[in-house]
Amino acid sequence: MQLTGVDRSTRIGGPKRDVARHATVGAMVAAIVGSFVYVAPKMSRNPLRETAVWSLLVVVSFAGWGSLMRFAVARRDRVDLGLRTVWGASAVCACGGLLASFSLMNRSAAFVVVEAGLALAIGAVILERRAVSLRVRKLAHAALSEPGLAVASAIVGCIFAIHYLGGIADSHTNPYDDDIAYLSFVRRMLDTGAVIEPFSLRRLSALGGQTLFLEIVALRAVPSQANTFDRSICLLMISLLIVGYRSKARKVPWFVALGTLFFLLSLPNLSINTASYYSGVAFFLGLFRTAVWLDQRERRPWQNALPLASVAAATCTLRQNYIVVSAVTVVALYVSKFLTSRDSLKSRARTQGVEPAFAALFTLAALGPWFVMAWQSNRTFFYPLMAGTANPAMQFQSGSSTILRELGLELGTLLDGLPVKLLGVFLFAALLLKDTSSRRPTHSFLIGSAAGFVALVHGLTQGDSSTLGRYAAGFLVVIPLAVILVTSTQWNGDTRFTRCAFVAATAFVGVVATWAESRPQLLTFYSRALRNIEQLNASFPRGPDTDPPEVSLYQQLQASVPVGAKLGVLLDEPYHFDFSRNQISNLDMPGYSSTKPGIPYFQGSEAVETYFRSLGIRYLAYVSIGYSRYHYRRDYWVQEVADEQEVWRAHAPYVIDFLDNLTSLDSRHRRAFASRGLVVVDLEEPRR
Amino acid sequence: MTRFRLRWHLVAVLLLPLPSCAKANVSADMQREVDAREQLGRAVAVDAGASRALAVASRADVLFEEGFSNVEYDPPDDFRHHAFRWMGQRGHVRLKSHERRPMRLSVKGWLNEKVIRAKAVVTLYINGRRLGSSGAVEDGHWSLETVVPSSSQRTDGWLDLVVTVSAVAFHWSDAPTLRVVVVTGLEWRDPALGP
Repeated sequence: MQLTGVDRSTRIGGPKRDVARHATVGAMVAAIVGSFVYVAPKMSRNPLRETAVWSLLVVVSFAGWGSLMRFAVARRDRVDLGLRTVWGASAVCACGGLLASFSLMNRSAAFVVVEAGLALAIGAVILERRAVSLRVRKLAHAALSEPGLAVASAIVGCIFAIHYLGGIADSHTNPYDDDIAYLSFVRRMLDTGAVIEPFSLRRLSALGGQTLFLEIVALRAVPSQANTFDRSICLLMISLLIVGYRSKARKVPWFVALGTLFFLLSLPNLSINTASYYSGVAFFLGLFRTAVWLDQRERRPWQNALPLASVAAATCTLRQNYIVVSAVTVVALYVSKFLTSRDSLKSRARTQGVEPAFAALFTLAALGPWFVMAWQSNRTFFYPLMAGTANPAMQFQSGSSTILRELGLELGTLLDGLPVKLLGVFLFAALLLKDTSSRRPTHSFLIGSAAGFVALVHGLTQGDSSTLGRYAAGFLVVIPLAVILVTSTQWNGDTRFTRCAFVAATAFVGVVATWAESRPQLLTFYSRALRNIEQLNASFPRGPDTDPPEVSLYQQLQASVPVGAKLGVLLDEPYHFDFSRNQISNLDMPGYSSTKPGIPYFQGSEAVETYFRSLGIRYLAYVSIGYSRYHYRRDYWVQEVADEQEVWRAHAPYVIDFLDNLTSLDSRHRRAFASRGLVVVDLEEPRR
Repeated sequence: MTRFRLRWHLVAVLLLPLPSCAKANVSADMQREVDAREQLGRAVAVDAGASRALAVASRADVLFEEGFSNVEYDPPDDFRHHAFRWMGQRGHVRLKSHERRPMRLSVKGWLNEKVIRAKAVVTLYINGRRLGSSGAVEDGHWSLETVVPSSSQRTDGWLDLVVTVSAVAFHWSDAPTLRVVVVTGLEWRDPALGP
């Protein structure tokens, strides 16, 4: 029936349905606006509620930015909430990178980015009110007609809520990674709008996308809640991507989506710090889902290329080892499309070259600013292939590695280092899957993951299987999820022993075995998460009374240094500093990275003094021997000289040498500050 | 070959060594730094009273691999105490060849005769070639010292040293955690550098 020129609502449902639709949309808009009004003003609030509401608003903001991208590239196509959040987060990443390359991505800019996303989300809800209202009605109808499934959904929803709030309430940060580096990057970005850290290995080895997202969360969270992005927001993004999966006209059955969610929530906690784990899973699943989405309809080349390139580029910024996976996956997608086309070779070359060219252009546009900031910080944009400020004497490749040993390390990582212990079962199932789309998304992602995994192990042969497993989890965990989702939309209910049925059975075995295997760890996780949620909920609103004593200690330390003076720091918690007050160089991991000509190690304290003075760094702050909370304990590093792992045996002498040199400098120069083991040495004035 | 091509060949021949020279200098600097850090690490550990830990620790030219436990201490938890590694019947160590110069190798340890109730023989093999044997161990303590000639070093890279103990074995159905042999020191150095 032709409905052109007639208001559909009037014809189909009449005024009653019109009211219902407006009520649904109105409630949604009111929820967004109300939440923003609650959380935006700087005032005392329940800390759990504050960060929970803010984190949900961040997801809505991502969805708003994603809706804008949908409006640009596919305004007539269905794009589910999951894809929109990943597209939106990718757009935020590109904008944030651009602002950061001009040192503009500070606290105010981050707030504006979220606000703009929320406005876009409200606009999208209003523009798409018919579809939104229809989906809400369908959901309500489904819940009433299938009460069993509704109860199961509620149970999974409760489990999800524990994970979500547990991520917000987990105040544990890693003293080795977060406290000395990652959290100070966030604070630096909030204060200065960029992350320029030429002495930091952590800065050298990532483009900075994860820091940007942590900064956005930090607007309404204390540093110890930095897990909120990876373990709460990204978990929600992954869940939305699972629930919204659709291949061509077939949607993932709800019970399969629930099972997949339950599988995801059953995996042992991937993260040991605030670096990228679940964000890797979210963006790689988003990349895979975007590739599946592309084949649903023919569009103009740039319309396909924009979302794919945005997500691929954002993924690259999260961790350096994700670059290979993203790049190879995208190349494999286009090569597959080229090979599966039935056109003549000449025609294919002419028609199919445009989209990859657009994809390359968009990727470069999104990554370019991050490269610029990496160059400003560490004189490289492609570490480790381009060393920049890295010390060439500190390698991550083992001097004794051979091809067979590398193979052994790969097998060890696959069998023991990953949260999905039966990944082999899922890999086997993935290979058996019939990839019918022209871009072969499943197999392309497998190729990308394989390339990324081999490159990761090859570049880090000093690592052990658990470390490598953590770095690879971001993309390898996506494989089981993809297998389950693809199988569920390919299986047509045929009960004969077809290949698809075999793949489904294999995946089912893998899922059940993973549940059984991770049960003991989950018991610990849930009891800890519930206690943490309870404690944070009962906490006083944030303020000077709730700050740890280190905040005032670090403020006093910084006050001993004149405003604008350059300060080098080797401290346990440099994130308490105001990075806009002084030019602070974080010397987090001595030995790995420094501005040319490089910190002179093993040459005595005079050489170190000359080096820092040549850079204009007059003040050096360090934690004196015997006072370090964790990372700069000299005794610990002496023990590491005899450690089993080459990486620590190599690093230990640098830390010891640097600490000894600082102690020697301290003995010769005036102390500008000394309290609780924290010392500021003034290199310009001798000690009297 | 045309004159044009010849000219480019000459340019290439003249320019190609440049990056490799630069790399050679970088490598020499790197090696100096690596040597310095090894030296400092060793000196600091000795100064801290951890020389016994160093004797059984993996290092730049000695890597303890399968067949050995991690380094343990007696009494435990302090790296300054008596350090050792448990060893099974067969332990594998990788030794870095120093430009195939003859190298002095000494290994020492202890085995619990009361548990194995046999007179064990400890034997060393380098890349499959038998290098030396302890004879029957009488009082539990064993040590082997030998010079590995350049002829026994097949490559410039890594050599495989295998330490075997003859009397430590178990039936497949009776696999206890046999903690009866320990290694308390392994030395691998140039004999020209003196004792």
